[in-house]
Amino acid sequence: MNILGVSALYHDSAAALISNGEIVAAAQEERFSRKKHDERLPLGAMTWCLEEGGVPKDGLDAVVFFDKPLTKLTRMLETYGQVAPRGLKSFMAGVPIWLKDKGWVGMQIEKHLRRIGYQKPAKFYFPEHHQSHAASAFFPSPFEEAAIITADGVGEWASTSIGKGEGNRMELTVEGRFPHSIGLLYSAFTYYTGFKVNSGEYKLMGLAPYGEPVYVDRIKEKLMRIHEDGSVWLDMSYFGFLDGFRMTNEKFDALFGGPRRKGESELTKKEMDLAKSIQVVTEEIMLKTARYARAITGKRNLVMAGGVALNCVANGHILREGIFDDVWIQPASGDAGGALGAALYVWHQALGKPRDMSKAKPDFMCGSALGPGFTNEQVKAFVESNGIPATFMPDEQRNAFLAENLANEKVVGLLQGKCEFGPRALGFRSILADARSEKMQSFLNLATKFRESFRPFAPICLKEHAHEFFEKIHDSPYMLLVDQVKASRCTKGTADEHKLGMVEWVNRSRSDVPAVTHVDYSARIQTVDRDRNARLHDILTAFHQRTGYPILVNTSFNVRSEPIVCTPSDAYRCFMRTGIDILVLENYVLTKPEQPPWKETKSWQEEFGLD
Amino acid sequence: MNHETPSPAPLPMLSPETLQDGPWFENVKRAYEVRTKPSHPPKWLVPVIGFSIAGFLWLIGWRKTAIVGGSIVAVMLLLEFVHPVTARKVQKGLAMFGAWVGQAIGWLLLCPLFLIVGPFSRVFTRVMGADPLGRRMANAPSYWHFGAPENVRTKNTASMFCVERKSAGGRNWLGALAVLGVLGLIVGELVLRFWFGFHDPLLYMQDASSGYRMRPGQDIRTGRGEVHVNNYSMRYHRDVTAEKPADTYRILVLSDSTGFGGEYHTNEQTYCGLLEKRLNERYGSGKKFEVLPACTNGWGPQHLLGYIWKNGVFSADSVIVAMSAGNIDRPLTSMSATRYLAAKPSFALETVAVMLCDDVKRRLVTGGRDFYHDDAEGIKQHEAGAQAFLDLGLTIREKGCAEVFYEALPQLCYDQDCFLATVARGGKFYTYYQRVKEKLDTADFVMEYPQELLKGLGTREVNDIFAKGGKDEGHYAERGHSIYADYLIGQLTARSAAFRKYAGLPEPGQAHEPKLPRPTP
Repeated sequence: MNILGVSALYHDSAAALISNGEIVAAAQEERFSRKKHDERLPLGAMTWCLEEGGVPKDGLDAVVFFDKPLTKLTRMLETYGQVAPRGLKSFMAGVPIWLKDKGWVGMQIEKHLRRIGYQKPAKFYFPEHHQSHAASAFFPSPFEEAAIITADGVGEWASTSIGKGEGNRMELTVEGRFPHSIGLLYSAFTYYTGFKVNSGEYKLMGLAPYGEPVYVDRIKEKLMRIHEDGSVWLDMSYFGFLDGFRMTNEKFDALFGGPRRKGESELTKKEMDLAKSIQVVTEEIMLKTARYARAITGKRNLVMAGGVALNCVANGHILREGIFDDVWIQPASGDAGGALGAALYVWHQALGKPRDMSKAKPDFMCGSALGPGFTNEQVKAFVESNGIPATFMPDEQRNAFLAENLANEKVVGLLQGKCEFGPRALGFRSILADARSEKMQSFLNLATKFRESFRPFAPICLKEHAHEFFEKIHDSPYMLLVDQVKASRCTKGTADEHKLGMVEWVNRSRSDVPAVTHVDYSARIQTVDRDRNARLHDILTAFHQRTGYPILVNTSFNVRSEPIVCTPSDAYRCFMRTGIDILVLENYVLTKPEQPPWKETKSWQEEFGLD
Repeated sequence: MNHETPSPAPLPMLSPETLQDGPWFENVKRAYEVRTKPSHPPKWLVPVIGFSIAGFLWLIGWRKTAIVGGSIVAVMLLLEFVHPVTARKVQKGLAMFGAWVGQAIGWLLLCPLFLIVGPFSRVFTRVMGADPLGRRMANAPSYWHFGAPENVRTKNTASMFCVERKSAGGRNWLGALAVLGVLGLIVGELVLRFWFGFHDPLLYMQDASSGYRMRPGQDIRTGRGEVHVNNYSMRYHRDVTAEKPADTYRILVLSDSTGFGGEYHTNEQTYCGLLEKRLNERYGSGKKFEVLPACTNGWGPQHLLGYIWKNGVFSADSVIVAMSAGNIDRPLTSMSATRYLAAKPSFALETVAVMLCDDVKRRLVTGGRDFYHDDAEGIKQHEAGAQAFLDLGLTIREKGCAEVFYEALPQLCYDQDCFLATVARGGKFYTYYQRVKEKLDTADFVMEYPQELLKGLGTREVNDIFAKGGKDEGHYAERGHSIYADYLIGQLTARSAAFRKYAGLPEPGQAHEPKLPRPTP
């Protein structure tokens, strides 16, 4: 039985195909369309998934959309009904789109399927948004039973949900409702600090260590109430998203001493302190929510999904607190993962199919490598047709070559295996560099990623050696947990370090792996094991053998505002536009000096815009 | 020997535009072509739709618009053949214009919806005690909500709507009803005021002679009609004098609500107004006709008699007494036949309330004795009315007008051959007219029945003639007034020597046969 899950229309559209309960393919639309956070119907992803799964033209049994569009519409209308006559412009901007597009999503999917030759599927399903998230968290996890927490901006009405999963059933018990949403609160601060909503949240998270939590009391006294059970209430008089196009309003500005920062302008202490403060508040809420989830479900493990679950600092905090024995977070926690979750929900929950835990290796996500992959033959055809010099190297030779060059502070762009599903690069579409290098952080930010200089980089580390580098967390396969770098590896900073300029501060060496140690000595960890990514494990092993360090910088293979590369041609373009020294396309190795001259006919950075 | 290794040939320059993609994603690329390809409708579709719309506009009478629209479509069609590139540009421009128009229409439709329904919804929700956005639950012990049972939600997976768990707590239904009531009153007031014109009703006053009459000097505009009342309580466009102007042929029409014509017509659309207009059009060269309608809702012969006693016949050359059967027995003292409103109300709702109270009062107090009942009281009323009918004619003669014509008004009975059927079947109208006829015979007055007027007409035609799509038995629609005006011209021509003389018409043959104009289907 083939079930296609689809998420679309808000941000991060995606498609996922499961075949008799097994995840066959999943991909985000942005990887095909090359438009970051592409929200349109995922025509490319759907077409690819069906082709990848070898689904016959009459063999698609069900299509599942990841939420209930009409309830979203009624929520929208009910909201306008509560703020009218304010909100007219927002109403006039939003309702026609609903009437024209979003309300007819089933028909649009059907139309596209017909266009690519597929017969109308027997059934269409529409699970709730948080059911999709919850399913994406529980069903692919390695746990037979677990507590479930989903948290995001808003689904239909729910913004946070708590429930439990047992076997092939899950049940969401309580929910926090719009507009009282931790996701929207975080997005409000993202907006106020000058970052883009739905894409800048993790930048705010990365900015937090630079600040002091001086606004925490103000946030908790004026903006919101937090109960001990983790539920939140927001004072809507400070927020503008009910009736306008802004997240915050003048009252919010007055509370925090001025208007919001304009995007791309200089970051000041105020923004850093706000980032820290909201991070502290978010962690407090998530911890309380986790404790409440433990109390009401009685489960020893926790699974999480939803956009807020991408806050890896909070995730790490939850795990280190020991509220649960183990925590598993869906790598595609955002709306993209909803496509996968929706399909799994129908298979297990609606159709009652069992979960075969013997197939968890160690979970069902296959290392989140669910997207398009390319064979050496395809790569060869590509390089030959373009006259690109490339050298074929078998794995062992290649890994030794990479280890040598990485140790010499070369930057490597890696395309191997299947594309990751989710916002993080996990070693399939990654840029690798030496974590020991003091200048690597600034070089990567400025010359390779062309992004804000304050942003940290994350390490990949052999799982079996993670305990040598990090304090508590030793298994983090999807880069969704933050932990402290082992104190023994850290060099103590000066007391007045925070008075330094941001760039100067970030460039200070804080450990023997300075490129991946953030200003607060934390790191967003990805542990690499053979089950999930054997080839990356081999590269790390080779580097370890050469240098004694089983750890590298891993950042996504893209530049700012560009989606992560998918195809060899995407990778080559990025390679030629940036300071990457070596490009690896499966077993083909390309070095920069050997490459033909590269001409840009227009400013490619403008093509991608700013995120 | 100097052996130099030849330098390798330089590699051809690459750019994002020249970089060729590899052998992958062919189906994905094809899927995207559909998205990027601009959609054009089939070539035949636009002319077909365009000409159809133009044809429709022509049919409904918007001929100029139809011509303009059809011409545009024809030009576009020609351009498509002659210069397709220009045609595409023009189509694109028209499409952009159409999109702009569509957006404007969207604004026009959605804005009022938002600005009216939105605030009301807010008030209503508040009154109900609901708080969908939880803005007033700051002091709640927890902000968690319980979701609907999972098994119910799972069963509902195929639906695009969520299953909502019913929220605890009561609702302020009384408050909600109150708000709905207020809204209903507001909407009702607006509809009654602007659609039906109830805020500006026709006013009446008591009169010792005629029982009651329309207040003079009124100028009423309802949703669909206009009423102007002159100094003698006639529905006439100007004040008149008791003495007619020189060289004028004056016709006085005495009637009831049928002659009044309804507030849904203008003065000129009533049969009296049309009679005056057509007489002046047909015979007006050097001549002037006046048709004065002394017609008031609910008047019977006793009211008319009192009116004539008091005001005289206005030096009329001919008097037409056009009575409907239903009003013959109306006593002078009864104002039950009309809704009496002496002063202008502040609200349209007030008018309706007064009318409704009046109705209730009529039914409770007077027993609703509007029409003839076959009992002693009813017969007595009817005989008094018949006598008044006779006295009316005699009084008119006394007041100086020799030509008095009694006309029984056509009314919708059980089928289209209304009078014939009435007479044949012996229904209540037959009895009425028999009684009146007996009285009139005593003074050689002749009452005419328009027997042939509506004979043989189909149901649709008859429904066109009578008000409310044929549901009102005794009152006429615009077409009915027109037909009756023509009929009266025929009657005057046939029955009035003075009219024939003034109009310059030849004398008819000896047989007294009214020429009845057939209504045009």
